[in-house]
Amino acid sequence: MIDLSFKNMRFNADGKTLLGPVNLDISLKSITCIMGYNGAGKSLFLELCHGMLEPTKGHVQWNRKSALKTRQDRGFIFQHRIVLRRSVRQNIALPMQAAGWSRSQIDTRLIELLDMARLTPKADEPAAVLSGGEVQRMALVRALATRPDVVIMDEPTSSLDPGATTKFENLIESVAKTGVKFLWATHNITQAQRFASDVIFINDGTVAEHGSAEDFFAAPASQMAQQYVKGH
Amino acid sequence: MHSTFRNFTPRARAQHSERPILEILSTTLRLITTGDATLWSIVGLSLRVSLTATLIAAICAVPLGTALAMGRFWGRRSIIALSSSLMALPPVVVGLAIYLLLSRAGPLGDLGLLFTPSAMITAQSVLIFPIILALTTEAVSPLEQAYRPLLHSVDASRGFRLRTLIIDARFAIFTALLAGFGRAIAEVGAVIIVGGNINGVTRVMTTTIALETSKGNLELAMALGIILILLAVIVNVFIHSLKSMGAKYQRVSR
Repeated sequence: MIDLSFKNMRFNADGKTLLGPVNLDISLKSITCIMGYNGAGKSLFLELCHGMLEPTKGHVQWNRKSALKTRQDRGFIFQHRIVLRRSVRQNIALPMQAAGWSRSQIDTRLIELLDMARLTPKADEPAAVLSGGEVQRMALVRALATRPDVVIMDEPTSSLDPGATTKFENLIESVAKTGVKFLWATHNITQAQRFASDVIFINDGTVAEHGSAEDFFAAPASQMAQQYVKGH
Repeated sequence: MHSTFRNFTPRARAQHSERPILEILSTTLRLITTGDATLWSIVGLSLRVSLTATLIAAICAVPLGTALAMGRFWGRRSIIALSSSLMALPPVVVGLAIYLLLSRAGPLGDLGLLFTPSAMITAQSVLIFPIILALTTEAVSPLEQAYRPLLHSVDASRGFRLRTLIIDARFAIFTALLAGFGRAIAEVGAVIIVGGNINGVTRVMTTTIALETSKGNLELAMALGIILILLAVIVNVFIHSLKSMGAKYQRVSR
């Protein structure tokens, strides 16, 4: 069981409240999609979930531990591609090196991860030569490297072509079956309908709705969510 | 061979300078190719002094430049601007400052370093430290901005982030080191003040060129000049090779 809790959480910048107040207690199901219009605060919500930002007020906790202190328990995939100036293998190894794994542990895990992403033939090539789809598959296995329970993804398929998106989705589906939970921000309603167990709808810096994906897509409670689902 | 010309009188120097240029060139080439002991000991000392100075400056400037690129503190921009300004430090002023520090009456006079290769290494290290610092900061800053979210997301320690950035900016950092080495080995003002240009002790390529030209011994001066130019060419070839090696790892947007 993985619990995520926001308690009176508020995030301010330059005197303005960008997100909050948020009060939320959820037990993560397989894939939770974070949805909302551009600028609603989805990326901010995810970064606060991961503990990359410190709330101005209140706190964010995972299983009653501060998100700020448990970043190594989770993986994160960014919307913009972050590629280290290294080989594919060395890119994937980074979180394990940061966590202080031994070289033999890293080498063993790398074999599994490269195989999972179907990047074994390109393991020793500079990651700069990978296609967009390959980069995001590399980013996914990099996020999974230290065997986290949760992976947070900020619109990872937003700039991929349909073929690359399908390959990425298949990989997510197979990883989700192993018990890893996903928090996945997406604008793609069809994608969310196919994969989401739960949906968190963010509107104007607050969590406007949270519930099962089935209920959300069948009958969104708020007017904004209704418009969003209809594609307006 | 050059020793033949060492003790020229002014008249002899004038006669010598009237010799055909081809004759001077041929003697110059013979000096280089026959392995003249004096010539190569001067080259050896120059390399030893400048390589050591580059190493010392690099040990201090590379981590500091990287930390400067990573840091978000008050006064950071001023420090970066200052280090860029100090890239153009006049060598004679650096030489004078080191001379005052190391002279008998100076605060470090007891060390007895004045007119030794160590004093020359100190002067060159001080001279090239801002160059390596500024170029390292400039090379690491864009990389740090690109890597920051990922390194933050994996909760990387400060030391790990520093190592990661230095490793991934290695090609640009080597270029900075080569630029520093190039400046050090071609420098004359500071080393002549703190080294004293003592024959067989602190006489390096640049100071020997200055001295031997004034004595009319053009062969040795030209031989050292040719070697100095060759070194500059080698350094530049290295810089270009490193840039193309580094480009292989830089992602092109697609």
